[in-house]
Formats: sequence, structure tokens, C-alpha cells
Amino acid sequence: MSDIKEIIKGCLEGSRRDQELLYRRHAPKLFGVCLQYSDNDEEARDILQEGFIKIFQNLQNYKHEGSFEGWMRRIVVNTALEKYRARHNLYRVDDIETINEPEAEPGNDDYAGVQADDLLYIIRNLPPKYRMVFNLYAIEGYSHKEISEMLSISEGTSKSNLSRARGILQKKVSIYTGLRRSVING
Amino acid sequence: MADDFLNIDLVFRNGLKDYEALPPEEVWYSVQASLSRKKTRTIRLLTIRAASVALITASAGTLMWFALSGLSEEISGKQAITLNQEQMPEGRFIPGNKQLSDNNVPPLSGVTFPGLPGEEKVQNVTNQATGQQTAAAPLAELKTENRSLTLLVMQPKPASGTGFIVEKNKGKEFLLNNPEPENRPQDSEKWKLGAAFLPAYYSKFSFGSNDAAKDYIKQENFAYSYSGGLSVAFNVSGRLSVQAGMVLNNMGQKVEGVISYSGFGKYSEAKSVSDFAIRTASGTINSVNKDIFFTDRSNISRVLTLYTADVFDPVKADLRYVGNSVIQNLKYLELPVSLHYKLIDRVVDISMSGGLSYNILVGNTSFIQSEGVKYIIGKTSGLSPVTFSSSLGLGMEYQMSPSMTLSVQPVFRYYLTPLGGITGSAIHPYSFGVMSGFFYNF
Repeated sequence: MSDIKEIIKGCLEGSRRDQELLYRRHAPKLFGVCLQYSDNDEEARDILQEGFIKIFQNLQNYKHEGSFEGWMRRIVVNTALEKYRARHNLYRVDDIETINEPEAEPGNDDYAGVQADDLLYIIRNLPPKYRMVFNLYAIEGYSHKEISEMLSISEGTSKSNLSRARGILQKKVSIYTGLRRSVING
Repeated sequence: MADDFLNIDLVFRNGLKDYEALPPEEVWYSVQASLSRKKTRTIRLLTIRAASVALITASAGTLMWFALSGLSEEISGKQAITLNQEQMPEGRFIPGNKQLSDNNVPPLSGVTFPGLPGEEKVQNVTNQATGQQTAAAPLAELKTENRSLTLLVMQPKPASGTGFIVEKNKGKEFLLNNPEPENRPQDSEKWKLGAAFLPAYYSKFSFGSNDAAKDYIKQENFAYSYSGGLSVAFNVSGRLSVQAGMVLNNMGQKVEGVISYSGFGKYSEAKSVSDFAIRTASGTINSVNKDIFFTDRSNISRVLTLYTADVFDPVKADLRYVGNSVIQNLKYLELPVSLHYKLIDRVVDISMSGGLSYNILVGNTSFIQSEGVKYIIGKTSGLSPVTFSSSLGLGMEYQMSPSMTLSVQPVFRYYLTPLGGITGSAIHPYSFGVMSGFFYNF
């Protein structure tokens, strides 16, 4: 911990070495987050780049009171949200949807053993509006009220999108695990 | 069902919790470049502030120096005294360059002395060279007609001076201070309002830190530039004035190496996104014109598209050739503030000026042109919405009438902040131009 404090101090003093050290240490983890929130690799790169610029610009605001990694992650997630809002403001997400039951029928699948790369592939292939809500709710732990404010949608839409996202994910994971089993069993 | 949902949430939460992926190296370079730009911007801003403070301090110092030195040379009546040579008596002069004062003299009513000799006499004169106070010979016996004459300056005559020789004695010539030109603006005319036009030749200092940026810069040149606007000036003193205004600057940059064809509309399958993007050192032009096909002419890759040479041949498709360059037209609303100092204060003044300008990007269009037809293709992204420029000028002003001045001034301008640019490039334009305009004094 004291090490990261030293690096932050160096960054604040303009040390190029410490800036690079901070980047090298945390970029892979944060790039994983970017991939989770983006449609493609190029967009993920942009989010990471803008996110890190904001991290360096706002470093003086970090009070050493919580997890530094969590603080950086929030900045990157917010950057992803900004990009999403900018891209989808022109054709707004349908804000009048009501809650429907998921289309997929959840089975008693055993999801153990699904690789992270596969999970990422599945989540990135969700429609963006479902992906954003699922990420914010299931991964980041935000409430529907918070998500509705972040994405400028109603709480109902947030719940509906989450439900649809879960349904799609379950279906895809089930297909994946089914395929995997059949491959293993010959 | 709720358990299943919880289960799927956990699958993703736990599965992606420690997920890591190595980002491409170029991300760090971009972050680094951005941090450097910010640092440079801060330094540059500090430099501009320091320069502004230095300029203002120098101006204030100059002003004060002139104000103080002017006190000792001022005639309290604030009016030039013109004497006819015949009016001056022979053999009378003041030894040394000394101001004479006689507050008992009643104020004068006219500019010229009505006649000589008169009744008033100078009592004592101090010789500056020796410091001795001696009883002076009468300067002139003047009839002063209700006008205060407190100072009369006599100076050795300059080689090309104008004025009147009042004495020739011991090989020295003396004269009265030069009379003011008849059509000089009066002190009450403190303000000037004018309109000016400035055609300029633009070039640029470009800094490219990567090969792509350097290649782009080589093939980009300013094609034209002109600006015009209004300005208002305040005369702080006889020689120093402060000028501010509002100017619209229109400049065009020619981007070489991009061949364009028209008639592509029927082949374009894109609905909303651009088929072609053209990379320039100052930013990327995303073409919105679906009818124009672009391809690179040289080995420098500017055009980004899915319609590469192996996919689409414009010649086989019978497209019409339009041209081999793209023009980026940029318009800036400039808000300049400058200081003008008269080096020579005559009917034709010679003055120098220096100032700063805050420039707001108000127009951004890129187009191609063929046979007088202009095809708008889009905007350049990545340009700075605001820039700062500095200017330095040396010019002349001709007093056409007491209320009208013609100003012609060669001006050098330099952009302190870059116009914009892709990562690894910074473009600082500079220009030479001749500003000409008319000013109304009031």
C-alpha cells in the first residue's frame, strides 16, 4: 500500500516513470473492464485511454480512503457510460418498456468451468442497453435507482433490461455448457 | 427462477472478477502524449501570462516615462507658439536649453504672437551647462494678450528640423519647438473606430513526433487567408494607444495526395456512417458526401475505407475524376487586443504594435473543387475550438483629415497554441500580411 502511495505521489509531482509504473500495473485489469463495457476492441482502447487520462488528471482528488483500484475502476466505468450515452443519445433506448419475463427458460445448468474469455465473449454480444444494465447491476452492484439516473432511463426499464439480459445470458451460457459437455463426452 | 438469476449474476461476477487483458502499446503512448500536451499547455499558459505581464509593465513604464519627461517640457498653455522670423528680435537668445517661466504673464488669447516687441521680460535664466543663474537678456518684448506663457523652449536646430531660427550667435542656431501639424487630432479625440482588412500569407511551424504525422505535414499547405473586422482604439497618450476588436479570419489549407471521384453514391452501402475518412495532420475528415469516392495518390496512407483498391476500382466503375486534393476551410472569430506605439509622430506616423488574440473556431468545412463546382465533404474532427495567437506589426498611419486616418501595417502573426492535430503532431501557423483600414477619430 505504501508503495502505491509513493507512486501516486510521484505521479502528482509529474514523474513520468511513476505514471508509467501506475499504468503498467493497472492497465490490464482496467482493460478487462473496458472490454466488458464495449462493443469492440477499438472502443475498449478509447475507454481505457480516456479513463487513464482522467485518472491522472484527478489523482489529486483521491483521498487514500478506499481501494485505489476501486477508485480507478469507477472512473473507467463512468468513462464507458459517457461513451455509451454519447453514442446512444441520438437513438434513445426505448424508455417505455415494461417488465417481461425472460425469453429463455433457465435450466438446471451447471455453469462451472465456463472460461472468462467465453463469458466476456457472451456479455459483449449482448445488445448494448442490456449489457450496460447487467454490468452495472450484477457486476458493479449498483441499484436500479442509481442505474436509472446513470443511463437516464426509468427504474422499470432498468429492471426490464436486466431481466432480458439475464435471460439471454442464461440461454447462451447453457448452449455453451451443453456444447462443452457434448464435446467432452464425445 | 430468482436463484437462477442470482446464479447467472454470480457466474459473470466471479468469472470476470479477475479478468485481465493486455492493452495495445499505443494506448500508453496516447495517454503519455496527452499528459505531455497538458503539461506543455500549462507551461505555455504561464509563458503567455508572464509575457502579458511583461508587456503591460513595459507599456506602463514607457507611458510613465513619457508622462514624467513630458512634464518638464510642457508648455502650460498646451499650445504651440508660432513666431514669424521677422517677429523675433535680432541678437536675443537664451543661453543653453532652458525653459523659462513667468507665471505673471497674463494668458494669451491667440496662437501666434500678435507683434513684437512687447512689455514682458524674462527676469532670470539658469544656464544648464554651468548652473549659473544670470540676468538674462530680454527674450522678447511680447504682447501676450491674456494668454499664459510659462515656457518657451529653445533648442539647437536639428539638421532637418522644421521651425524658426530665432538666433544665430557664436555658430549656434536655435529654434522654437516644432509647430504641430495643422490637422493633428486634438487631445479630446481619444477614441478611434475603424474597419480593417488583412490578406495574409500563411505557413506553419509543424512538430511531428511520429512518421505518419511528418508525412502528412509535408503534403499540407495553406492555400489562402484573409480577415476583416472592426476595431476600436483608445489613445492612452499622444503616442500610445490600446486597440481591441472583432475579426473574422478565413483560412484554407490544401491537403494533397487524395484523389477524389464523383458518382459513387450508387455503390455506397453505408446507411449512416462514413465510407471514407481522410487523415490530416490537423485532424480527420469524415466524409459525409456519399457520392464521392476517395483513394490515396501517393504511398502516404491518408484514406481510411473498406473500399480499398483490391475491392473497388473507380475507373472500372466509370466514376468521374474530380481532383487530387482536399481543402480544409477554417473560420475563426478573433478577439485581438494590442498596444500601438508611435515611433514617429508626424502627419504620417510610423508606429509599432504587439498584441494577443483569442480565436474561436466558428467555421469548419472541407471540400473538393472541380471546374468551379464545390463538393462539401464534411468537417475536420480534432481541431481545438479555441486558440491563442500573437501579433507584431510595424506600419504607418496617415492623417487624411482631423477625423479620419488611413492605416497600413505589415503584420506578423504566430499561433501560440496549435490548431489541433492527430497524436504526435502540433501545428502552429504563422502569417505575414498587410493590414489596411480606415479609422474615424472622435
